[in-house]
Amino acid sequence: MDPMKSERAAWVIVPAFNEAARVGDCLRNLLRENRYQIVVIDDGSSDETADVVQRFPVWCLTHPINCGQGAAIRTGIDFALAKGAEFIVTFDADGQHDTDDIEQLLEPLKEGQQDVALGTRFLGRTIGMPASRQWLLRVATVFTRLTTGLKLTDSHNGLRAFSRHAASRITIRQPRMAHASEILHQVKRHRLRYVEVPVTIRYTKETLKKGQSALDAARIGSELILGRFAK
Amino acid sequence: MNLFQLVVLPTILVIASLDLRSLILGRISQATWLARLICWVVATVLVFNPAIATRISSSLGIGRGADFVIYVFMLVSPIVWFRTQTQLHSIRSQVVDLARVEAIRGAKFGTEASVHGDRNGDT
Repeated sequence: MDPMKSERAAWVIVPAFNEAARVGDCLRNLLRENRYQIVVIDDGSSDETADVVQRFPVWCLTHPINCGQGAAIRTGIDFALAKGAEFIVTFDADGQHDTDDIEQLLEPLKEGQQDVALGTRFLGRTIGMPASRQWLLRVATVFTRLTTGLKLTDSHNGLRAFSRHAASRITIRQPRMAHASEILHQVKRHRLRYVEVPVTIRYTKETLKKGQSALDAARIGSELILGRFAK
Repeated sequence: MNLFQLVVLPTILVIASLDLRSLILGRISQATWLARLICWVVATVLVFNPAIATRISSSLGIGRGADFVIYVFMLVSPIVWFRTQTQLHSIRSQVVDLARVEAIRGAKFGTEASVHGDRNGDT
């Protein structure tokens, strides 16, 4: 695969932090499609994530320190845009997401009907999601609806796609988990066209360990407030 | 002069001197320096003449001067905390920006060693 391929390309951005055990399978699945350019952002992992990634024909960018998922996604977006990406998909490294959903996300963007496609597990399918997580996500969705006015069914889904236009307009300033809310705020502010696309999310013990708790939700709220006042 | 006043006065003088140095070196603005100076002067006056705090508190209907000082502290500390947090947030953002630039500069394209199902060493 030519890394400098300049055709109308879809790039898949995979932020990864201490995912050495799972990122290999994730990349193997993505590469099976053989349609996308892939960039993995190793977010200052202390395990062998970067070593594993470099055994695959994908781009590997390594943060020297752990900056957070928001920062990793921004790094990936900047890199993909510089390489000429026309469409950008964000995809988790831990095996939660299904590669079959990528084309569904890209379809409305390729047709030029939308600028942003947001994955929604509540119109799609969830496997192994605990009731507490479902409750937390529902509350977050109501909060997002109240603060942004966007009528969404799932506000914190890491599987999403942007057109080049949208990716260029959205600037992620929240380095950690508050980036998901920030992206939605910017979708609203820049009046980007968006659509929800049903996707499948698969929960495992490992993914649940890394997921968001009620305490994290409070932290995200405080990060959003501080981010508004910080210079 | 009691022991507390003996400790507080030199401490305030040292802090005020450091503030003056920061102003001369351009690390803080004149407005910030003036605001800090006013704080130190007020603190010194209250330490050396606690009756003033009592008079102010009485006029506000609070009662004891110590309560007045505690109320002021309770009002000011969240503001100071918030300001510190926003500054910390800004510094973190700068560090993250630096890390991101370094990551993009050092981008590497991998091999095909593991793509065809060779799982050796990738876990």
